[in-house]
Amino acid sequence: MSQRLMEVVLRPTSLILPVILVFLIVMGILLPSSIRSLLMEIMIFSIYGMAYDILFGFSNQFSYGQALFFGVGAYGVLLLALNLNADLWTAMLVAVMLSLVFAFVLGILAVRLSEAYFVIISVIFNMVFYLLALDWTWLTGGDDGLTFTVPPIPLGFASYSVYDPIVNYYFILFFVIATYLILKRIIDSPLGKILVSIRENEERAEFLGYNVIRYKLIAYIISAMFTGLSGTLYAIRTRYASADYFSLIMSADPIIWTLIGGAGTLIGPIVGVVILRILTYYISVWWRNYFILIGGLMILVLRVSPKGIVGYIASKIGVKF
Amino acid sequence: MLSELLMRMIFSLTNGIVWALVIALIALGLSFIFGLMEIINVAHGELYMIGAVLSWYGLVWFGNFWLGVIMASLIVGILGIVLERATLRPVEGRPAHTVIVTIGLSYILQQIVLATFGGWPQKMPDPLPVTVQFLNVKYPGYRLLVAGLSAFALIGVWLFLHRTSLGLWIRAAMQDKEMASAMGIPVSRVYMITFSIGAMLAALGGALAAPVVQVFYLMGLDILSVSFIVVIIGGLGSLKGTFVASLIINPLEGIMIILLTPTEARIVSLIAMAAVLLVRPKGLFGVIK
Amino acid sequence: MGRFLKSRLGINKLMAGLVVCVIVAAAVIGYFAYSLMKPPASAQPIKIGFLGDLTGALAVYGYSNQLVLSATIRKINAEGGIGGRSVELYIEDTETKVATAVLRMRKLIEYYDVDFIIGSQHSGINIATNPIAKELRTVTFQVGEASEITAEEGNRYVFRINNNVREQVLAGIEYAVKNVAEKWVTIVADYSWGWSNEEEFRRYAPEFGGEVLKSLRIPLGTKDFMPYLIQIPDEAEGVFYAFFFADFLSLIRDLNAVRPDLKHYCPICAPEGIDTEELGELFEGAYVLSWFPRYLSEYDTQYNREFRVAVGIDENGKEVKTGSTLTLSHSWSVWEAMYAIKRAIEESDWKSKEDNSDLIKTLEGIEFKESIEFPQGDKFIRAQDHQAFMRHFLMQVVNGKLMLVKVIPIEMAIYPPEVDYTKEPF
Repeated sequence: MSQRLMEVVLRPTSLILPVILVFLIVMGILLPSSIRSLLMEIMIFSIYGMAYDILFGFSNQFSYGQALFFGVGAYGVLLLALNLNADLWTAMLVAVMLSLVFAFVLGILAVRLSEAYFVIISVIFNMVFYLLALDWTWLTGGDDGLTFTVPPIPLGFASYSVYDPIVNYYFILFFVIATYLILKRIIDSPLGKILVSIRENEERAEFLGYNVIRYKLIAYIISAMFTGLSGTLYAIRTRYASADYFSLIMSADPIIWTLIGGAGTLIGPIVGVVILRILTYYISVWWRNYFILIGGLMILVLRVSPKGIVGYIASKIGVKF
Repeated sequence: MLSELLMRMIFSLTNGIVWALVIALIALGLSFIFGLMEIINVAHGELYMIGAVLSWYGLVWFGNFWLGVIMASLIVGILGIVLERATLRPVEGRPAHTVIVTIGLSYILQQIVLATFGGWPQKMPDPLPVTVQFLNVKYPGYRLLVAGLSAFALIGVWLFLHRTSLGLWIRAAMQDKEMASAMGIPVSRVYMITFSIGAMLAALGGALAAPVVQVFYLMGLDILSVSFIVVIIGGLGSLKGTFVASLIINPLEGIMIILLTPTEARIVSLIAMAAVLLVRPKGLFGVIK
Repeated sequence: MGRFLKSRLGINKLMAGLVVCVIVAAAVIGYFAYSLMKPPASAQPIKIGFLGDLTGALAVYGYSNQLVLSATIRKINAEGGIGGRSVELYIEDTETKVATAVLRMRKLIEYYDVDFIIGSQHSGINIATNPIAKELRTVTFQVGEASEITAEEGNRYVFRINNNVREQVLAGIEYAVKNVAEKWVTIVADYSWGWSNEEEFRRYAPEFGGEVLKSLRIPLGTKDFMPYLIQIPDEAEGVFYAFFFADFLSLIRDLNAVRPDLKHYCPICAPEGIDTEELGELFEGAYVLSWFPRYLSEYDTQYNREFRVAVGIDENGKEVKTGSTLTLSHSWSVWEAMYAIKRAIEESDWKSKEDNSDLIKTLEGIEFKESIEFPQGDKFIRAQDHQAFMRHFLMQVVNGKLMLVKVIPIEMAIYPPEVDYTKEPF
């Protein structure tokens, strides 16, 4: 088993990813602004997708309520900046920590539930936050939301403004790279391998002496923190947050990306994000009801290749994730 | 002062009971679908919505509301069969996957209705323009009729479950699939029929509710929440559980709305649902393990 | 072991090569696709971006607004465009969601390079997109109605040619209080638009001798209004409400059951998009404040006729082609917004977005006379808050139709500005 796991070191992709990375870094300045904006969107959601993969793809916990942490991240950074005049790093840090705290509290309750009940309770938790966000308009602006002026990024002696699209772009790029590297390290670490073994056969992992609940909780928290991070970046990018950031549609998105891209691969959700955001960007113009396509895609992909596109390609080529 | 509060409570209670019966009908389908096939049907609200939409078309094409109701229920029943065979059969037993499939279905159904029926909310004329004098207010007779019909339908379902062999099969399969299969019950056909009936009940609820709530392509969203709350608290696969839970939750929410805001009332219900899930996943009368 | 390694390496090389080819191919294809799909960077046409609510809760408004705006631009182009340049329309769907709208607005400006934006009907979307208008230096005409959009949430790049809640309530309040009822209960939808209506009514009613006995807030999507309606005080004579679509229908139905004696007064938003002739006694006799009469008979001017012909609306406010009830009382604003842009371009000699500051200054304080371009009536855009002020129409439902009772002159609806954008740098 461990030899196979070594193959999980995504060796074939070790060429693709650096290439894409270089491309992204270099093109940041050269790209037309619309593509840059689209890429920023894709990058932020990639973080959200990767975070979801840790939960679903690597520890087999299917949640239909991650938008809870997305919203916490978004509002965390917004409210701190708006009401407490916090600087950007502090605001982001607090927002991510808040995600951690909520994940810990909710995770303790939820993680031990079986698949069906875990889903349902993830929805309940999400809905409670969503309804509260709608209700507490004094805090959240409710459905209309709140706009805010994003504080500058302090780096040493200089400070950079996200209102410069190029700065915004590299800011997000930094976090995408960081997220990928950190999560990859986690997956390759003993912790990651334990998670995979739990995913493959939970009972056996239990017999082998692993405290399954504890590891699932850890995965849950890690996922929540990075989801919160993506929320902060999104609020910063849009200079805005609303109760909609907590909505179930926001929770459905990472499910769709991970499904279509491929769960348990870390890059799968990124592929899913790219395909779906580009689809939405272009198709929504000439087919108003394009959501039918997305719905159909979800059903189809699940039938044809539950491991998504990346899984499909990998199986054809003989690589195992 | 106090009597006004009391009056409002009595009103809410009455409305709550009327709704409880309709919701029980809708939630019942969800309960059985979930209980028997482990399908978390996120598209259940859309089935309700399509029931309402079809009953509207029935009224427009045939001029008869009740014909529209029957038509709507039957069409959605058939739709249920098609959906179960085509899309859900492969994922039964994997609740996570059923969520994905039914999310996809709900998107598709919503958009189809938006593209055909349109984004306009449609009003339906009152099928029973009679009122009943109730606490110096004219209470709409149609609502009482709907409550009665729903109760009637619930009794019908009960009779079906307990007095027919098909009903017996469903109950048996819910208790223990392997055993039922071993005893020669065609489990996969039972699945198909259960889903179809569940869809039909949702559509029936939608068709009956349409004149009260107006027909709108997004009307299924709220129904889904309350249905799931009822199902979880009442317990999977239990008609009695769904009935009782619905009769507790709906009037209670109705009263809570007076004291709190509706959002807060819903939050309370959700917390109650979470509590039940964590402490007693079977629900009040759950049949499934 | 060696074979194993070799097979791994083999897969590696093949895989690597394949992947590199795919990336290169994708990049090349992507580049060509992009340059093909991207509208040619022609300096000639003037590009208008429309953030329409084509799907979602406000789909009805989106449909109507798009219909009118398309017709406006067709007419302008048929008559030679603006300064010899043709006008191109780019439409993006907000899905009536703020998060989507924010992204689509950026797309309109960054991808299509639109010069101007005509916005969504949703107030929340307007509020969230206002900062983007300023950030991306694109003059935007919002059509939502929350007062804040041209007050504390606005900026120098935002304009509004239609009215807002404060203006609406102020316009009709005197008539309502003096002729309809003295003691009122207000019932509003429980979100910002509803609250605005409630606040403004409570603010202005006492100034004309009215009294608000009670205010109720009912959430959108409530199925049952009765538990709320029985709270209406017995002494209440009139009910002022702010709801729309299905909620409005449920409200009047339940009002009729609980308190059929009350006189109704509401803004046109309530019955907008709904055929009032089918409502029967539920809505009969209600007073409605409109800002563009639905029925031609109530405001029969040559301009109104021409306008309807150009868009394809019949004399009852329905679309000629499909018979659907449009949101005419709101959709006129996109017609006039487009003509306001045209007028501003012409008067400030605007050539490109570089000239925005001159265009903005031209719009600040501009006056429009009733004409085919401004069929709603005379109006002006106030310099300080970029808000337009216009006349209003007090209607009453008679035999199911909205009939004119009184025309309310412009001055009645003017309130003091709360901000001064003229002091804002560009």
